Amino acid sequence: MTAKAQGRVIVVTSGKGGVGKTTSTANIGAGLARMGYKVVLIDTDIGLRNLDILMGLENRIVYNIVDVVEERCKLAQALVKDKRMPNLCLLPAAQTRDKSALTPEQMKDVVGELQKEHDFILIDSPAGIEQGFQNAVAAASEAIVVATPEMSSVRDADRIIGMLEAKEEITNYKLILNRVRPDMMKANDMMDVDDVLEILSVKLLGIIPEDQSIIISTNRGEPVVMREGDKVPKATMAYRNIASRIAGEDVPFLDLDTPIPWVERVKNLFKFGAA
Amino acid sequence: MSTQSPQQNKLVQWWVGLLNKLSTLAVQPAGISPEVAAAEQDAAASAKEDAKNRLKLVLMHDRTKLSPGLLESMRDELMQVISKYVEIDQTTLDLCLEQESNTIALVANISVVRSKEVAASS
Repeated sequence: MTAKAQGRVIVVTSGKGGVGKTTSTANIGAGLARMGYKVVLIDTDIGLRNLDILMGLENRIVYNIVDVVEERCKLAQALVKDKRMPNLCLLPAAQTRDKSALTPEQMKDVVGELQKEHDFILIDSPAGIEQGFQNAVAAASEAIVVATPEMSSVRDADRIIGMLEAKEEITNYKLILNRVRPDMMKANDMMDVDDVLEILSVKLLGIIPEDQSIIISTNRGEPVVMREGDKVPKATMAYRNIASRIAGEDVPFLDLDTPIPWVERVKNLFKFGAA
Repeated sequence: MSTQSPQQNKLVQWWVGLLNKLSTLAVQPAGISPEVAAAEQDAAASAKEDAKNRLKLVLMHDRTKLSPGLLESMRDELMQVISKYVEIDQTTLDLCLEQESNTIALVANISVVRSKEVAASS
């Protein structure tokens, strides 16, 4: 063991599926790596792995986390290094096994080992509250709850928050509100950020706007946070800010408001009047 | 209106449409077509408020692990007990969960007609 401080272990979870856990894990991990931290991502969704796809590393997997705990390989052999960022790597899930192939104790062993060499260990949790979730949470001391501003997602997030609160090892948890649509929120057609924070009584880690660039990034296997240049998508900025906040920086929340230009308003007016 | 020519009628409609548009323009957000927005406004509460209210209720049941069915049977038993002592208006008996800052309260609202003793002596 080195004299270096142990890495922080953060689980990304949500309860409901399809709200952006894996996307958030990939982007926050890449965001932290971009800042120079040594980061490892762990996919605990055994049987339904996807983090490899989002990272664009699906073709480079040789061993997985189940191979490690069943001692078919060494931990270092199972880590897939990201070629774009040498300080970022992935510990993939097994695709041909199920959640029972891993126990919370084994997770703790693996994570304990990884903590010696990495600044951040991000654990992507599967949906649900069963064993997969228990495995994912077992070794974590911090949690990120991902939710969208929809009733079903917020309800499941509430359930997850209740379970996180019951775990002594989890010292802090925060919310990422994903797929935020400022236009619908302003029209009172959708719960806004404050509504969700009030209902869940939880602290906010970040707001991610609904952004097509996320789909494009997924298709390319390149997390949106990796885009560089002057004109990056809003989601890129949002994930970069989240990474900075996790690293301890005080970054203000993005202003997602894009008021409609007056020209458009006048056009709409005449369209309606002439109809 | 019936005395107006079709052309005049159309003009009036156009102006009414324009005025409606103007009155809602200030509060209309981007991304929603005027037609949809107008239709949505007819609904008593906004979709946002609907979601909030429904969600708050669901979460109270989730957090207390009290299902609406359980509340119902609790209501029935409460009614039997209370009816032993006072005459109550059973139609108005209302038992529900209410959020009070950090705690969830079980609130019963019962209309008392009179106490049983008074009812017996009269």
